Amino acid sequence: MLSWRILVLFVHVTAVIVALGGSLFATFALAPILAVELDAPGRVKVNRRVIQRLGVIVLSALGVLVFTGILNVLFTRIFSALLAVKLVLVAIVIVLATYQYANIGARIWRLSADGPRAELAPLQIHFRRIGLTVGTLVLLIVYLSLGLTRSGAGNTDGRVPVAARQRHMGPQSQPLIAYARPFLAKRYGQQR
Amino acid sequence: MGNNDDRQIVGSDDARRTAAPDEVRAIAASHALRFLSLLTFLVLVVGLTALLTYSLTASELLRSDSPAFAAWWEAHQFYFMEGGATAFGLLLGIRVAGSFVAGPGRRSWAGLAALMLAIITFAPLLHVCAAAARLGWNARGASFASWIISREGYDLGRRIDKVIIAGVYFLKTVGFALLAGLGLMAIACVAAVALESSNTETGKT
Repeated sequence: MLSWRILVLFVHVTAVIVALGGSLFATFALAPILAVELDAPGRVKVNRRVIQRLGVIVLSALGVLVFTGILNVLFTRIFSALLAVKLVLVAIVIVLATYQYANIGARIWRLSADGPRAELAPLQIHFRRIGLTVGTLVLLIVYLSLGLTRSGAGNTDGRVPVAARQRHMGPQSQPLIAYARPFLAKRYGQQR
Repeated sequence: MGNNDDRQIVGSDDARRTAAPDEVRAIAASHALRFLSLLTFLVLVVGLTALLTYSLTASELLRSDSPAFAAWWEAHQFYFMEGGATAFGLLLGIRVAGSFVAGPGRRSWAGLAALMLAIITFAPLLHVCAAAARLGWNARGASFASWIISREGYDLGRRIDKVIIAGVYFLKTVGFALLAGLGLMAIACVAAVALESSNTETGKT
């Protein structure tokens, strides 16, 4: 059961979980708790360590995602418009994440070395906004990936994938046949 | 740098220790960026030349003057096209992601680290990106080819069609390599961020 394709897909999905899960945890669980439980110097101290650690984890996961993603494309053997949209979104996500951690995160890291400062607040808001944008885009990419899987792009066992079949027969042909089947069965019996 | 700054650096050991590396880092960053842009231009020229000679079978022109070189170029021009496209995509990805990194020092450090990673992974990435670019989109290419042939005549139409096929292949290879370059830059940024934070911690202790 274990094949290169399954292994690459497993690493790809794990990288998505790590990247998205880490960001969501930091934004929706850790940040509100830190705001309530710690005073300003302690919060800044913990926050800068979290940003640095999370940057390493998220950017590594995105690097892994790209390489396993390209290998996945090779395994699925189909290049569609949906895949092209997904790849463009992936490129935008990587650029945004790099900007988030290597630019804003680095500035927060440098500024917060001496404790809380006034310039930190807008940077942190900007950091969080970009994080939320990245998270939304990653969710959209996951949704598009489900569409790719559902359309039969992962079918490599020699049969014609559903997407290619639909393209050949027209997009509406399969559902229409499915709707007409009971009517045909009633009218002509088992013959079609 | 002004005279006052010079005096400060000369006058104080601490200032010399802190200011000199910054200046060195800025010069190194500008050199690295210039080198990277020159390299990008070079691989683009190589890739486009190979693309045109491959699609227009230009090596035929050299056959009478230098048959050995023409034969060698004909055997290798496709690899030059693939290599040029992959290298261009990788460098473009590194430069695009690098422009979002804060600070010239970190930018040059991460850029050079990504460049080293790109050189190490270039050979496998060349095959992977080229194989991914070979995946067909749909069957409209054939109808497009017959449309061009019906419009421009067989000889010219076939030639234009071959240039377009090779051009699309080149662009798709560049696209996949661009993604790989962005990924390499992300990994290089990880190294830069980790190194900077460990340096800061060491400095503190």
